[in-house]
Amino acid sequence: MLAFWTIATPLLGALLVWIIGMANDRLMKWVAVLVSVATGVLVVKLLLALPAHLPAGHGYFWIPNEAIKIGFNLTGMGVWVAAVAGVVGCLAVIFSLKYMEHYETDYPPTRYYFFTVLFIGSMIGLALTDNLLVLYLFWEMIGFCSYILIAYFYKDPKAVFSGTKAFVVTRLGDIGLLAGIIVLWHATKTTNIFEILDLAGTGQIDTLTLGLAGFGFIMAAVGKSAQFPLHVWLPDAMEAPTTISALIHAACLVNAGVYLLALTYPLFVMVVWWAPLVLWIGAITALLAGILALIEYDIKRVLAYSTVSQLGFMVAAVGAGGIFASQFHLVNHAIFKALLFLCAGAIVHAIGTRDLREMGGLGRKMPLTRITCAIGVMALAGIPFLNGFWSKDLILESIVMAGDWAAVPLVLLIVSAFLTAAYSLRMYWMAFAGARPYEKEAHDGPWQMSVPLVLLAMGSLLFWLAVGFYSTQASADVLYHTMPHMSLQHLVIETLHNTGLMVIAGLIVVVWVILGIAWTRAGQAFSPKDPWADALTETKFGFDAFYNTGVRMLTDFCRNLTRLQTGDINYNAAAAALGLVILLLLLVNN
Amino acid sequence: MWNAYWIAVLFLFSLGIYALIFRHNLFHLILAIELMAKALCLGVLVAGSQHGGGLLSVSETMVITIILIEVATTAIALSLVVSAHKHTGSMDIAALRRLKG
Repeated sequence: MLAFWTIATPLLGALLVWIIGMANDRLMKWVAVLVSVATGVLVVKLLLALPAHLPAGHGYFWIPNEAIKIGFNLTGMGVWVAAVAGVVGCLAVIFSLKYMEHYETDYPPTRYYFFTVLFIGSMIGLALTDNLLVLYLFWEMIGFCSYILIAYFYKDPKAVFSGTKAFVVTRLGDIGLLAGIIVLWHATKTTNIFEILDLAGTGQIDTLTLGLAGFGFIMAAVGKSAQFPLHVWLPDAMEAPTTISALIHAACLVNAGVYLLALTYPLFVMVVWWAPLVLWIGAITALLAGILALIEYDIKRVLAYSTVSQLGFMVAAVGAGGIFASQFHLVNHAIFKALLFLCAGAIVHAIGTRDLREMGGLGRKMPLTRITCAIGVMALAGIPFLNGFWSKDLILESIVMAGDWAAVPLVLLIVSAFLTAAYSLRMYWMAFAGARPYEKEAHDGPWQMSVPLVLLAMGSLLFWLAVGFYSTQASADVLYHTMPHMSLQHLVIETLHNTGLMVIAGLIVVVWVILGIAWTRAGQAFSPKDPWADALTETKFGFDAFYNTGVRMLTDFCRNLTRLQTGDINYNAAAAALGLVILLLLLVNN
Repeated sequence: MWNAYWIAVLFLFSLGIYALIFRHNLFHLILAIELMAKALCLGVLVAGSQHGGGLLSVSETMVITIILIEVATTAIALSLVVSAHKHTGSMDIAALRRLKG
């Protein structure tokens, strides 16, 4: 019952927000906050109630003729993803109260809060269902909500273009997911993920089916989690309100792809090429996005590239079999990335620009934002001993354990770890440090903005201390994945005894110190002025060309297709008659 | 099974489709649709009489219902023709190609 209400509260609550929004905007906003806080509380309660020990074959009949049932997936992995969505979502909604006030005269707030709450609810539903068809429905819902919210400033053509781009690119992946589900259903006659895992475990699904479905699922995850080569939509999605960017990057949208890969890992690992492909995609993405983040000037786009890069780490970990590492990094990343985005939101709210070159010396004026942002940046860079350090080390360790075939991706990922340190320090340095203090007026936000910042900063500092709790809950009822039970003591000893990892962590700190001294001496951070740098970040290493060509071909095709639409009744009647003939022939043949 | 009735049904129906495709006069199109509907009515009756299980009465009732409904739809269609004629000043469907404005 608790699981049901965890999904139903935000979905019904969104409806309530919409209805109340027709009458009163002020009341509507507080209802939205109430609903999202209730969702956060419910999802945490659900997490604490693990293990749930749901009986096998539970659920409600949905399509009785095909014996399709809807049930819950209350394993630790799913519930953690839902918990991240619920808790970070609730903080983002609270932050929005002040942040979005500024735009309310131009854009109606009801649309914002309705879709935000619906977005959170859909992500929770996606994580908590055990039926692939229902998962697909929620998958489409988060895609649709993100499209609306990215294009929220609809009077700005750039925002509309970015929203459409996100929709089109992720749609390409969705086709893969649907095709994969159909292929699996065709072979097994069930859409329940656990039944499919059972059948695959006893070798009742042939390799061809698994290969086809596995490729489709990779397509889906690559689209949704913005991996190479479909990474083009995420940086452009920065046209969204900053709170929505935080939600998309940390809680709701991009985690879905990583979660899907982790969930189906035991199914597809039997296909020889599947895991290496996933590992390579993740490693290449991490490296490319790391390079782009280093030469970008828009603070939100730096964070966007950093998300793409960190997602690359998680995907690579799944490919290497480190399910625990990837899921742990997912939670840690959600905490510090939400923090960084909300910090960026506080900066944008205070000074009204996103360009790093126009910032500098903000530290004095915004002390709270500075401290929380410093914590977030350290966690992102993997400085010991914040939460990002532990999970990134776990990922690298799992790739080392995978064996020799993972050697090249491992090198790519280590290089990206150093790039991460460099670009995160560069972002912080350009915004808050710098030679001269910021001249114009700037100040920290009100309590609606500071409370989420402080909570998330504490999470980034301290969440790794709860690794014992994390792993106990994450391994609850997990039957098909190997989830190690990791106590805090175990984690610390294992990491500190791993010489290679400690050397890397030490070198990252050294890189920080050297870069910090060098930039302070030079008076400016690494800032390429050549036109190629702009072109590179603008086109995401030229991959925009593929998107543009694809969209142009599609629109041309559709434009040509409209010639069939003559408006002449005679032609339409002829087409209807032709259709009738075809239908009759089909019936006769059957 | 293939008797004269069925041939009549097919002939009337094809005639209707032929007119629907090749005629340009709105009034002719309505007549064509009427023709097809009547062919269908006849088809329902023939099928009912051939079933042999006393289903003729059922099909007769249905045909009467069809005719009744058709009277209503034809009346509406004719009123649309009148207003289209007022709008465009001709009975030619080519004048109705662009439904905009």
